[in-house]
Amino acid sequence: MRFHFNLKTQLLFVASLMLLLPWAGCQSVSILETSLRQSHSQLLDVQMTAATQQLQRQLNQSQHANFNTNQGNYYAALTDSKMLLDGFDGEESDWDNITTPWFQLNTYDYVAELSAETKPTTTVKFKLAANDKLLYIFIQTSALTPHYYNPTQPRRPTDQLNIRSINKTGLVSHWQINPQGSGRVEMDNTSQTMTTSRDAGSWIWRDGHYTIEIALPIDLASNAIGFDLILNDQQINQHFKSKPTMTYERSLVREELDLNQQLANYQQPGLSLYLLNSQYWLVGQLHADQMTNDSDSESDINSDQVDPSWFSNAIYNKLFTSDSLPYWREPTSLGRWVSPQQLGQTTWYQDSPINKQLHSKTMLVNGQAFYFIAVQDSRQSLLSASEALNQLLILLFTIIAIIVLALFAFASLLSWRIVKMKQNYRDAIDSDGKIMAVPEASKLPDELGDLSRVMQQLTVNQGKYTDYLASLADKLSHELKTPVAVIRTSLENLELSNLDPEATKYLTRAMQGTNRLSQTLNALSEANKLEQSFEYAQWQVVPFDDMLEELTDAYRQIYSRHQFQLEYDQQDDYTINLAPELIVQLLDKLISNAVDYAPVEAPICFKLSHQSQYLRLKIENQGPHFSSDNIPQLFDSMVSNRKQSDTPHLGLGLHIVKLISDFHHAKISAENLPGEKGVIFELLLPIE
Amino acid sequence: MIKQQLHIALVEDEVNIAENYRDALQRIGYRVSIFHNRLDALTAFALVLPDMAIIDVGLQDEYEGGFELCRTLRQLSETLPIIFLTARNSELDEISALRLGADDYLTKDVSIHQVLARVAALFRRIQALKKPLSSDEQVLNRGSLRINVERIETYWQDQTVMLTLTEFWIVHTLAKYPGQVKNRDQLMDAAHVVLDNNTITTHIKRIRKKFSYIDAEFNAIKTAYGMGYRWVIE
Repeated sequence: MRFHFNLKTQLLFVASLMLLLPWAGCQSVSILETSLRQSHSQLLDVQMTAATQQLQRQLNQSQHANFNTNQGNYYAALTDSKMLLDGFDGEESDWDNITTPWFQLNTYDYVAELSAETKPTTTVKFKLAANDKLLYIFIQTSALTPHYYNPTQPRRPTDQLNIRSINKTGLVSHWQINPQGSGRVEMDNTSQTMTTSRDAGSWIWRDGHYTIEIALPIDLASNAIGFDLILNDQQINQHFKSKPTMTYERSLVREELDLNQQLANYQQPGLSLYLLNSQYWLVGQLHADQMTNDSDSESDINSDQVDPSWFSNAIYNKLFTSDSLPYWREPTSLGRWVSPQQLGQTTWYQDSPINKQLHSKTMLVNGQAFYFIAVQDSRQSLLSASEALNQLLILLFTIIAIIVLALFAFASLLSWRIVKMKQNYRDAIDSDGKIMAVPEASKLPDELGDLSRVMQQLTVNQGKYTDYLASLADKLSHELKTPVAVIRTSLENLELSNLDPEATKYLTRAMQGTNRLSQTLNALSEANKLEQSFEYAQWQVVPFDDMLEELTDAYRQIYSRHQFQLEYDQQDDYTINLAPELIVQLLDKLISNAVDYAPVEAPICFKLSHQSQYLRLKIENQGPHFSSDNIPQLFDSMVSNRKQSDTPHLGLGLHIVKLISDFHHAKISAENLPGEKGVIFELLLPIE
Repeated sequence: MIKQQLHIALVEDEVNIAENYRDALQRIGYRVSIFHNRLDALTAFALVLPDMAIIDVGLQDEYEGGFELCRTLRQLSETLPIIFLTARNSELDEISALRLGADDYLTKDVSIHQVLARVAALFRRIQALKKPLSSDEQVLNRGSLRINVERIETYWQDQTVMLTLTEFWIVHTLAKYPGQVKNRDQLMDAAHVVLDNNTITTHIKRIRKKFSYIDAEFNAIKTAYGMGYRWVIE
């Protein structure tokens, strides 16, 4: 299908340029968002500076200041749940949620028998967790053979765990566990003059290795902790220790609930705060809830807003996400800050559709560096910007819709006026160039109105010219009649005088010529007279078949050399309303035409039938073909389409046929029959 | 001898034609006066009326001067035979002329012989009308129709039907042999005119209308499609 690029489409196309407006709007909102983000960033910086000073002061005043973190640390994750000390280490155990690192206990102080070449076949790892009451310890060994303490043989080497813990005040506690079998164990506090025992947890031997899950009061181990695990292997004791010295404890770093509570003072939507010690361990944190779970982030961002459509989301993503920024990654892993190089600067990240900024401040607490880090997403600025964007887009699209509709309506109006004008003028002039009725001109003062008025003037002029042409033949014939009459009457007078035979011969020829000229003049005015006579035409309801029967009889008498055939269905009703005199005249012309050309041996055939709302009359004769290139012009005046016959032929006969046919709103057509010869005329007369 | 006393006024602005007709008419014994315009003719007619007027429609610069003249002549005499002889062959002109009381309307492409025949026929009719009604007149009775051939009068249900000469001869030809189809050529011969097919149709139409004025049920002229017409006695 060919695309029709009409006026309406063109204007619609131009109107669509209005869509540049929302693009411009989006650009301006994007700029607005950037500026909001930056101002937000500055505000955050100011807030952080104040918060850092406050935190620094509090840390200096608190016991946290005693943290000795220079000698390496153990990190205990903060757990808010009470753990079940069941020694279970499979899936869904309490330790599954503790994402802090595994620490390794190394072997030190080999006994003399152990050769230097012999590598320990056992490895020991542990992880720590703490809540506000207890420090949970979870130790796993690799494959080994258990050696339990037998009270009856107290000197026999057995597997044993010694723990040294130091609390905030510097009080050192020694704890010893001697398992007597796989299961619950107790631990002895050997640092006191009188040994006390308390329930430690579980010491489980399963699948060839130990799983030790115990808990200490946190108050006794809040500063540092050390482990000395003695395992028997091939009768040789192995010591797995935190350090190769007697004081083998390391400082314990853990998230502090009270620090977290302090950070909560600075809570803001979309803001995450982290406090790191000098070793980048996380000692306090406050997560912006929404940011903890990436998959929910997008829906959460706008949870307090009207739920935006995919369209708005797409626009936000496109507008507010800057591809030049690095992608956001969670900055902490296993309780430790992942990339210390981030610290000390303000960095922007993209986290679709929002951006995040990371600010950090360093503070010195008792000579040790602490890092206070804030991660703020651009939620606030995004919300403001998107709200502005939403309103702007609604406003712009409303305006655009109104303008486009107005333009479309205007284009439709113009288009309608043009189409109407086209139809008016198409209806005004028939296929012969005759003016049916001059259309009314538009009174509007615009160009289309002008065009309409010019068109009307042109039509009027053409009508005059057509009328002139139509009357030309009549006028011509009228003007010529007088000189012809002069010649004729002169010749006739001459005829009456006594002329010699020689003169009579020429007189006869002159008379013949005059007669022929006279006939030609009559023929010229005949078509014109016919149109006049339409006014007086008498319409009658006649059985067309009977009329044709009479006519064929008449033609047989008049053209006795020719044969005529009439075919129709006797059962059918061919009653029709027409002007019989005119139809007879039409048929006379067609038959006279046929008789001129048709051979006498082949009949001229009438075939009458019905065709939906028409009576169809076909008249066939075996005369020569019409020259095929201009059959449609056959019915125009002064057109003769076949070899001239002997009689003078003006080509008016078929024109008269056309006039009568048009008067009856009938359709007349002619075509060549297949084969060498033969033509057929078809007349379709409307029944109603 | 009577003919020589008959005076025909020929009102025709085309000198050559006028003289040709005059010569022809004079040759068979009529006295002919030629007038080239309406005023000349009127001046002469004010003194004495001719026995017949043959008038052209367009007279010099008067496009319808002939019609004017005809109207004036009819006021002067109701019986004066008037023939229009013109180059105009539009139906409207013909109807106008007959309405103004012309007895015949001929176009200039008819031959002089026809003109002479018409003139003779019209004189004959006048003569017949002047004669007292006598029993030996040739009268054609066809049902409600009665035709006095000598007086060129037609009656339908005993009422006069005002027919022109051409119309009279057409009716006469048809009614003479009722039931017989007369084709257009035969009708033209009878009316002593050369007319195209369409004009015969117009004449038939007008004849039917004139009879219908008297008798709305008039249906005696039947069309034989393509062949002609026939008179039917109900």
